[in-house]
Amino acid sequence: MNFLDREKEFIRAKVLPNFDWARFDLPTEPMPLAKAVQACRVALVTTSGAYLAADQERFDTKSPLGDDSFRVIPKGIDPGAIALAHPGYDTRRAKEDLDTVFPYQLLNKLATQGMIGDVSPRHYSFMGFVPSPERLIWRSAPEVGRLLREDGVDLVILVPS
Amino acid sequence: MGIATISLTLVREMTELVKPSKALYLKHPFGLTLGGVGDSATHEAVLKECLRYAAQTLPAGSIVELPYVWKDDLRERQLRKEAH
Repeated sequence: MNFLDREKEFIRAKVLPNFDWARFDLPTEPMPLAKAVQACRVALVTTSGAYLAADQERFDTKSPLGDDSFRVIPKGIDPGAIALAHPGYDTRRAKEDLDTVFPYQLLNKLATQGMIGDVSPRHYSFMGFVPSPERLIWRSAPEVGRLLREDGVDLVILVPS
Repeated sequence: MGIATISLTLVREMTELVKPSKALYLKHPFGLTLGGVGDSATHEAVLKECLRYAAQTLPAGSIVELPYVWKDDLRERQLRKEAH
């Protein structure tokens, strides 16, 4: 049994009896970069469950339906202000070194080295356990897309956990 | 008009279902996507791979396997749901 079958059985037994994986018939068409990477504004979308502990609501890791909301993370935030909430991996390990799942500090470093144009003022964080993704697909993701466009982002790097 | 994206992925089979425009597949454990705690060289290498492939023209739905090797059996145990 592969991981997808094993995880599907687990979610069906514990959470949603009719769970199945979201799937699409056709791939998303790649959007070519409009400029050289060295001139691009880059943003991260992480599914690590990162949030600002003092200012933002923790992701709901107890709900069997997961949490399809997102958090906005400013690019210059102190890493000590970030907490991680996710039922699917050991967040204590990643909290020791956020670059493992949310490399925003590393992206800032690459910007200072001239590897990219600059870093978006905001990154976007989801918690990756969303077994019923309809609202994610139709509401949260389009909203993040709108914010990325508002931020003038040229390239988004999606980082799972 | 969309925005260029590139996705890291830890589970190839899941990515084959969702079909993002362009993905880089890493056989790293869950929660250590870019590499181990403190392994800044691998973190930086992986992020630079994202930039490199973002600039390349690839067929829609391409999944490129990156050549990183994990050091122990954590990922395998996670895939069997025997480790967190």
